Amino acid sequence: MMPEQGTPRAEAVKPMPPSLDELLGHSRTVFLVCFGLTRNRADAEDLAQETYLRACRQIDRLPGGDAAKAWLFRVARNVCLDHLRRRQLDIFSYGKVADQTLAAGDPHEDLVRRERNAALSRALGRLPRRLREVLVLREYGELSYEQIAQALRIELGTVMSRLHRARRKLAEAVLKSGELR
Amino acid sequence: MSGNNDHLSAESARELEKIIERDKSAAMAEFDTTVFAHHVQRRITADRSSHHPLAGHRLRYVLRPGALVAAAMVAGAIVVVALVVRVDPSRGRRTDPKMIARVLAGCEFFASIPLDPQPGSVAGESHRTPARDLEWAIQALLYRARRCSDGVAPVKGELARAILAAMAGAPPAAPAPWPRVDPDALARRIAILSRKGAFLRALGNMQ
Repeated sequence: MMPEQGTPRAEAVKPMPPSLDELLGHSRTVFLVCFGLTRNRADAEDLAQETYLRACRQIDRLPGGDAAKAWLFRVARNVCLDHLRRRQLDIFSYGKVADQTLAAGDPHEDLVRRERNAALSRALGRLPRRLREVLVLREYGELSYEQIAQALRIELGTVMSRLHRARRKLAEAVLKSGELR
Repeated sequence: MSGNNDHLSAESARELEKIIERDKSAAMAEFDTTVFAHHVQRRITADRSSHHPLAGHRLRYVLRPGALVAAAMVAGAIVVVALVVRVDPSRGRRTDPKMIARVLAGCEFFASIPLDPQPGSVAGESHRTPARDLEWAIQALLYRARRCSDGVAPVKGELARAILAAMAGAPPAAPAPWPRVDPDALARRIAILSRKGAFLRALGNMQ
């Protein structure tokens, strides 16, 4: 006799692995996380593709449901860290990375935007790596606290405390200096 | 911006949120999810074709463990066989009764013994039975035949000495004292048995 829906046995059934199309539904945020971690658009797009490539190689073993998203972002974070290690860059050495976004039509606006970008990069670069990861996953990846905890394999309380400290430090760096206002 | 901003003023939190949103919007300006998905699909297709089980570096992961296990098994089997042969060189070499017969035929000692037994020549050896004598003789011959087949020529005196030592009660391979029996009488018995075929039949039964 098949277990009825809602019974403990039915709930214990392992969810199906996600399809590639489902994973590609997160492409925007995966790209943003890669951008947030590398601060380079071209690298971010390439690393986001690399993330999907790695994910696809193990797609049959992926957890289903919400855990798949957390796993995908964990892969993205590891891909970015590998990339930065290979280049022997200090993670978030943003001020040294060229801004490759398109130039705005107005030269003044373009200058302001570049300054903002560089200032934010510097501010993020001053954050310890553990705080930066949590902040980027939350603000750029738009992950929930639970998903961040899963992605980084840390406790939920740790996520919250790190995120709070990251925001406070970032606000102190960018707002009190007045660079980005 | 979502989250806990207990120690940030509402204005600071909003400012921070705006800054990050502007940063994200600028980064996303050129990002096209459709084009990105197309690029991903293309890379996945290329990756799968380059990772065919029979091509490229994937081969290492597919075949290497199996090849290593097979090589280890073959090497292990060779070592075991070599050790067994080394421990017992006679193993695997089936003693052929005809070989024994050839040894006997090539031995001048047996050839020189007269066919007619002399009555009473083996008298006085009541502690020996014909069956036991024959058994020891066969074992002694088998031992000698093996040695002969290993390249040692069947020397008359050596063969006779081994047979007589066996007849005296000592195992063929063990050092034996010179028998107290009449060598000629015992050798004659063996010779008669061998010429009548009984020896050969007995050897055949021992195989």
